[in-house]
Amino acid sequence: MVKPRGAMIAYTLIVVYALFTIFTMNTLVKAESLPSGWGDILSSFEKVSEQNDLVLYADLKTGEIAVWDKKNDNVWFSNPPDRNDDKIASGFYKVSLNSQILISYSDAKGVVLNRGSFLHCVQRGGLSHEKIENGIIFKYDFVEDSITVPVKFSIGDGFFSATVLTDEIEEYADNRLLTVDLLPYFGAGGEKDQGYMMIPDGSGALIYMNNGKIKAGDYAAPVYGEDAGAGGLQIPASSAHLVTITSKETIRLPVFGIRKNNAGFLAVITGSASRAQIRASVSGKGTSYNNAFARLQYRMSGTVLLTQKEFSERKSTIPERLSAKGTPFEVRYFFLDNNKSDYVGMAEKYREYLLKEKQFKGTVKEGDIPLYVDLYGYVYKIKPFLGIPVERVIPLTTLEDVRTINEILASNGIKNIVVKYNNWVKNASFKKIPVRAEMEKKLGSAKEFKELEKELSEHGASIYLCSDLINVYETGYGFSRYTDALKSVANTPLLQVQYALDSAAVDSRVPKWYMLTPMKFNEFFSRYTDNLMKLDTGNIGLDNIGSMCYSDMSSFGVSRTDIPGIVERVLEEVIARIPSLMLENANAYAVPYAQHIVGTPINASYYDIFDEHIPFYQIVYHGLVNLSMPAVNLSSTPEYAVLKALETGTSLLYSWVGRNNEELFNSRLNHLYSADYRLWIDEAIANYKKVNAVLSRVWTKPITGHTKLAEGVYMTTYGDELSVIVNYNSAPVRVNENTIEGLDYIVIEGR
Amino acid sequence: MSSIRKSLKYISSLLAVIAFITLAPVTSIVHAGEAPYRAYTYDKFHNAIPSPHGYLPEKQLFGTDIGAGDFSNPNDLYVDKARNQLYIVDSGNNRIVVVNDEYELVRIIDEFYMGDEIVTLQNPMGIFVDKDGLMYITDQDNARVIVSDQDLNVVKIYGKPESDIMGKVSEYKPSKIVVDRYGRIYIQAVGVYEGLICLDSDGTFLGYYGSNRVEMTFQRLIQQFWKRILTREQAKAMQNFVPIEYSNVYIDDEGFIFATAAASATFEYQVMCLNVLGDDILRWRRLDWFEGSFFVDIHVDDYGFVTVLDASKGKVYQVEPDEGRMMFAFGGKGDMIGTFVNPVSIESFNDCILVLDSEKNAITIFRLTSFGKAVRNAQVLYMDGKYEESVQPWMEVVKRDSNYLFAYVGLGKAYYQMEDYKKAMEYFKLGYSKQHYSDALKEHLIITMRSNFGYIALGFILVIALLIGLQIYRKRRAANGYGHRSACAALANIKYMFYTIVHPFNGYDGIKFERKGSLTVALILILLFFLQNVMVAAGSGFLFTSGDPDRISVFNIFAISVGIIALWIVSNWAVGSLINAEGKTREIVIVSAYSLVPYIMVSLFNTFISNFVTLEVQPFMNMLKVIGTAWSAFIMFVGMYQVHQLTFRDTFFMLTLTVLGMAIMVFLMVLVYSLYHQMYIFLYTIFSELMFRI
Repeated sequence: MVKPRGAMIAYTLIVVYALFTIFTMNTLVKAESLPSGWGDILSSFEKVSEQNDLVLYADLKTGEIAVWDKKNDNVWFSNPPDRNDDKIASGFYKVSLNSQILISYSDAKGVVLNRGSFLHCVQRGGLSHEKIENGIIFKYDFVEDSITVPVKFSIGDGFFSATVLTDEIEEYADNRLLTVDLLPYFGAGGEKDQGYMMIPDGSGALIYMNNGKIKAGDYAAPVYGEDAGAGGLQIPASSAHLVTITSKETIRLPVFGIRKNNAGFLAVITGSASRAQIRASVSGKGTSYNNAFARLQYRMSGTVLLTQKEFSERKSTIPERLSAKGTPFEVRYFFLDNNKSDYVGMAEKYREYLLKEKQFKGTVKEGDIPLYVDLYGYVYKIKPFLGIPVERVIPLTTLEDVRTINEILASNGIKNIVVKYNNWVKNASFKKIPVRAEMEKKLGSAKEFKELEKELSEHGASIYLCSDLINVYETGYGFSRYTDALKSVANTPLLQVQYALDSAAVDSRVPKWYMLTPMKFNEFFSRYTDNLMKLDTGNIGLDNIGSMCYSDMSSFGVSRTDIPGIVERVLEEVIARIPSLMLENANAYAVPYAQHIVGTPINASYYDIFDEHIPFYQIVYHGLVNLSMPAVNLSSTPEYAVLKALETGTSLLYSWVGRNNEELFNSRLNHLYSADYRLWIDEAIANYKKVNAVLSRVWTKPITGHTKLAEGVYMTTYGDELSVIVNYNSAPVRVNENTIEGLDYIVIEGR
Repeated sequence: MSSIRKSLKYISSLLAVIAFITLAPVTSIVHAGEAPYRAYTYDKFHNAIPSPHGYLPEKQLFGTDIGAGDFSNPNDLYVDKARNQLYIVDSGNNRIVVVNDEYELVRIIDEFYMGDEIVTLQNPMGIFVDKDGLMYITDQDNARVIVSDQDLNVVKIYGKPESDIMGKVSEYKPSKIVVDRYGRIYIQAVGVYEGLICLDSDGTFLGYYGSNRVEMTFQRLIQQFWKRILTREQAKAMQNFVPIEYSNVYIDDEGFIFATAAASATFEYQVMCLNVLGDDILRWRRLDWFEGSFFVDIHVDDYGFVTVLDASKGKVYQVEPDEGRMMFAFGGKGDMIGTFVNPVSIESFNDCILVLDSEKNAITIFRLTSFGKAVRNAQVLYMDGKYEESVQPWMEVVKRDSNYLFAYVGLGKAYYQMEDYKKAMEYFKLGYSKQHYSDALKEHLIITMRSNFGYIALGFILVIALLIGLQIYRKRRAANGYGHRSACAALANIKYMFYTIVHPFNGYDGIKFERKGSLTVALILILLFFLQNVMVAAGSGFLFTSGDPDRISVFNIFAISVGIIALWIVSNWAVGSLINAEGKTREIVIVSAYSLVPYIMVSLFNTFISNFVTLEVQPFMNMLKVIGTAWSAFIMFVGMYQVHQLTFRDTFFMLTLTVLGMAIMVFLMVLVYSLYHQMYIFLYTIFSELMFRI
């Protein structure tokens, strides 16, 4: 018989060991549940959450984060594990490499200071944490700067989320927090890594890792564009003629992506995206890493010009009264499958997110693709009457002209003509706000319009009456400069100026104008919609409400955080009454409400640091919304139009007038330098036929592939249906067995 | 580097480029994004108006892209057309990089062979390759020019030229270089202001080429005057007028040397084409678009189009050579592909323009667009005088850019040549070309008159018959005793006004002593004066309208015309009461207003006929104007004389005082306005501050 005491001790030991194992299983990382090869580095990390195939680890002492994507066996670190070997980084860069957040704030005197969480929190004992259900909250207390920023790291359904809890940010002294850089080196690539950062600038751009462009500036741009409420350029007049204003595109989608070797992720900014700035850099500049991340503009500032004495002005920067408080700033990192980690995979991931999370509903229809005809109603010009200068209405495209143009196109077999009719409201062409929606008499009557619309729809065409209610040139019709105009941070109505094309001097021939304040969007847009409904139309065009995102920094203003919400509510109400909406070049929050997005960008900004332009915007939305390119006839290279359409899945758009084309010179519409439809209509018909032959087959299918085969040669794959190879070179190229002529394309069936 | 260049560089680097979005808030359907800058052309009033791009940035080429490693402060580009190669002077790396037309590396030249010795470069700044392949390289830090053949054998070395004149230059720093077909070498050296150093093929210093005669401007005249008065020391202390400093040179296939120079107060020509004597034959006076520019390189292509590189604005201008009219402008300052940090050299290679940036260490390649091609096509035909053939090409330009004014001039010339004068006039008007329009109008009028001579002659006879008939009728009525009686008082007043114009002494006498004349008529006349001024601005014919008819400020014209009359009347009355003249207010107003009539009549007549006549009629119109003005002045004088009852001499004296009085009143008004403005700003600032603190 076994001695009872010995057995009991043995059993106890076994039980204790078992309990101990069970107890510590969830807290300590075990060798089997670790990603292979990372054991050493992750030894100081603790597992804080596991959901589906994502495991979140955190180092409670340093604040570092790591995410294990089990499906693809990739581990993503908030700070590069080999950062201590970085020979280039020094000073604040070294601090940044080790930090999870970087902040900047202005002190009581207005001096702006930068801090990194590694040095100014962690090493000063300011890091505390709180474990929560699916993750962990790190509280970064910048002890010497009297600012606390809590950040929540968690795992969601298929993503890793990093959220700045803006509600709980504390500024317990006089220092005012300005910006928070979230996870600046998450997923950063080193000198030996290959890949790129995807930035949705304009149509989209790629920055290749280690591209050697150390002389180029870092990339930094605000999501949804610069804020007009901040006051504008304010260039001193004396030096204005030597400055050139650079043209840039805008970030329309709140995303960015990194592809590192085979792995990749798409980051979607889901909370307070309008306050985000996307930043990216390459190795060799401050560090030897290539990174992309989002910065939260917690507090923005506006510039005001103060007149001290006669002709002496001073620029003053005043921080806004509101801040990002109230809406958490969340960035969701979606990890891509290893065989789908290119920018097409990123676009697909974003599309997936939109369809699922945002319940995006596609509005494209099968059949012929639309041909967009962008027509301008009238313009005011000063004409002498018996020697006295008088302002007159010069009709450019009457309703009769619209009918004529349509008839010509229709007689050539084009059915799905979508007319965008601009500058048609009485007294509103660069004058009063067009709320009254009355048709200018010289163009036709309301009755004529209703007849025309009926005629057009019988042929399968449609007409959208479009207005810009944001730029207001004269007060009146309910618009008062004291209550309805966008005000600066100093509470004075902000006047917009037009700059000369050859310098930064203000074009004094163009009178300054106002912008509508976002608080009044609802009021004016619903009045406009009410009046437009009197014309019995099912179509409405609201031009730039989807593309302009600006806050009102005055005392009773509205924070930039709330602008997308305001626009969404306005559009929701609009389409509840007039169902079919057309927008110009819209931001992500406005796209779901529109059936047509015209003038989508087909290139990115021309930054030195960019290596490629990609049609990311189009890859995301093609097959869901009708997209058009910018006006073909106003392009410097209209011979590329067909190729561009086939490569990007956008339709053709032509900007025309029906008559008095010579009056455009020296008018407010003088950017229409090539608008005589008679000179373009044949080309338009021929081009449309070519594009329609291919794209009508895949207009409702998503783009599943896009690659650059050679310099000037691109291949785009639409669903499983077909691929198009376009050749922008003037000489023919050979791809496998196919030869594509210069400035030509071929269609390959299947995948 | 010269001090001028240094300070300009400093200034231009200080002026940071504002990188901001300029997507027009009005509509974004316009191609805002084809390049990082906006394309424009100029209208007749030098306003920049939208246009498509003539050249678009295609890509940036770094040393690493070619396979030669990064460039370091490269300073010159040269295209060797014979061998279809591009030479890049990579100064900081002391080497020359050679690529073919696909931008593939051909070779890197960093040493030459001279017998057993190896010769290297120290900060080379410029290169020229002649048709036989001889390379001339300015080896700046070694103060010499190295000439080598294609096999890198040194053929010759030119050191600092020996000459008394050259002695003044302490450091010889050859920078840019060209060689003509006779082997003569032209060197642009740093710090040399006398012109280009010209050497014979054997190295003899031939003198300074293109040394600019210091222009005699008004400023210099004054300087000379002061120099005569001041002592020698004082005169020396005054600013010396330094002759120009060349910045770069280029020689075209025909041997013409083009050069760019820094602008200065005394020197107007920044872009020159120098003939054998070194005189500028382009004679482009300071053009509008030169303002603030500093040209650092120039290139002339096979068609004669001149392309210049402006370092201060970072822009490239392509210009047609006849008048220096700008065809395209592109580029700018910034960190984008298509903008520059420090552009130093420009070349053209096939259909592309290459710009070298010594800060970015990259070459930016710009490609000609279809629009650019269309403009150049048409322009070439135009420059060759083939106007008729240029119609289609110009039409293509108009189709692509209806804002491109010169296309209309081209079309006008074509139709003029084809003798379709009416159409030519139409186009010249669109192209804002007054001289050409006038010529076409003349031809058109001649033809119209010739073909309708019969009707015109008939019309003439009828008018004369009518006038004679009218005279007879009047005489008959007078004989029957119907004198000056008229139907109503108003008509009588107007008739009296006309009588006064022709008989001022009697007329004004009547106004003074018989209470003739009408205040109403006077006020109407003043209004008419204002209206007439407006009509001159807005209703004159195209040929005679100065200024932009779309930008007339009626308010301004009102203020000036009625304002001046009002000032005159008030001042005259004030002076009158000061010197105890007898004129009453009513009389002064009537006199002033009535005297305007001849001027108004002439002006109205001129404005009317300006719509129908050619420029050649202008002297006649001017003469009429002079007569009208003199007549008005005369009547005014007589009127004042009669109404104030002074002597001739005193009247003259009084009128002078009146003018003085007007000046004083204007001065006071400006003062009051300025004070008011200050007060307004002060109150507005308080208001803004209050508003801010709500």
